[in-house]
Amino acid sequence: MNTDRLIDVLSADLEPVCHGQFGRTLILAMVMGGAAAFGLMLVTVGPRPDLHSTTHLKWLSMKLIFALSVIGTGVPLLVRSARPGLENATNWAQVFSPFFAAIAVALAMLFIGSPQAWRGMLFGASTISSTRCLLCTVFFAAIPLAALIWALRKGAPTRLRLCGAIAGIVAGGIGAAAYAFSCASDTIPFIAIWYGLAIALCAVIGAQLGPRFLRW
Amino acid sequence: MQELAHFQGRELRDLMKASLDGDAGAYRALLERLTGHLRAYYRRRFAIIGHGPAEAEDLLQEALIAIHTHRHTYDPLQPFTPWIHAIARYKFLDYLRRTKSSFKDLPMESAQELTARSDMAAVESGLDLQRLMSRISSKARVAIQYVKLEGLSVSEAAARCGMSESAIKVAVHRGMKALALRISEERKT
Repeated sequence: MNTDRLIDVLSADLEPVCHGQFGRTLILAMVMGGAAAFGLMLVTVGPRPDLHSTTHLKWLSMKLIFALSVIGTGVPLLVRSARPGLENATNWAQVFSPFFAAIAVALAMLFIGSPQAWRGMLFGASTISSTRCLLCTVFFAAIPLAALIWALRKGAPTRLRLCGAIAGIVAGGIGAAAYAFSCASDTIPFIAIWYGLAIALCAVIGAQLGPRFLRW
Repeated sequence: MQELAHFQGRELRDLMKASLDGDAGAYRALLERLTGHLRAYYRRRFAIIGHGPAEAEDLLQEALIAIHTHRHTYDPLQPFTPWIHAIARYKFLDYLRRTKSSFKDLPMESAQELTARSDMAAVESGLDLQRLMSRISSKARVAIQYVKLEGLSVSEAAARCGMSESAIKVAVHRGMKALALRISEERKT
């Protein structure tokens, strides 16, 4: 085919572009993914039974603050990663800031606490707490990740691995927020390590899926 | 040189803004200018990896279709040249990946480089529009045939097909997406 002919085809009957469509798709994906993750938490492990007491609500909000700050720093970067031309004008390392902040606070808590208490602070309420946290968070993040990839396919990511990894981090944040309602380990070092690791695992999964599913 | 590139970038950006609002004339002018730049860009790159101008033309057409189907990802508040350069470069790297060509020996590039040169000498590409059209739904095919290829207005096409105007618009829109998908599938095999 002749390229001039192609230009005729593309420019005939041009539809105006609806601004903000991509943003709305992304929000829809996050809301649906979040609802799915929360629902999955309710029907599988369920919320912890003593959630209503004030101390536990305080810890729930700590966990949610961490998860939401991961989502909050990730989403603007996710939007930028799906728009061509912003690759060099974006500080992608920002995505790590909630993790660094959590690790810094965790180190301070360990430093203040006595070495005898470290084991409980690091590994949580029981021996299976850390494994449970990792498995549940990644499991709850699966549907949000699929929804985000579906939404990102409507954009134009040019660095597929990076875009997939950030989608994994945001999905991991959503999974962590859902798991926070069930988690019985109330220490900052536990949140920094195991929530952080679970989200990092989601990022690795996202980076693997990116080149496969985000091509256009 | 720097100033010229800057000026060109501004002009292209104004055309793009008008295109996003639905100005077909501006869009046509934009695509024609981009064609020249993209052709020069791909020919130079294809010469480096030892491929000919016909393959460059194929990729140029694929890039034009990608620009069309992803034009909503341009943010009018951002400069235009980096956007178009990122798409051109992405399509080139994607081509290298799927043809398993070598990445080495590729020069460093800046976004201005894309608009610095233009090449208007077209060659025929291997893309066969009629054959691709035979693989999309008949409704979409008829709508595209009337509106895009024969240049009828939406209302004329609607009258001829016995469909509503909005149904024609939807059929054209879906058909173009399906066509873009068929083209990129074709290239991947």
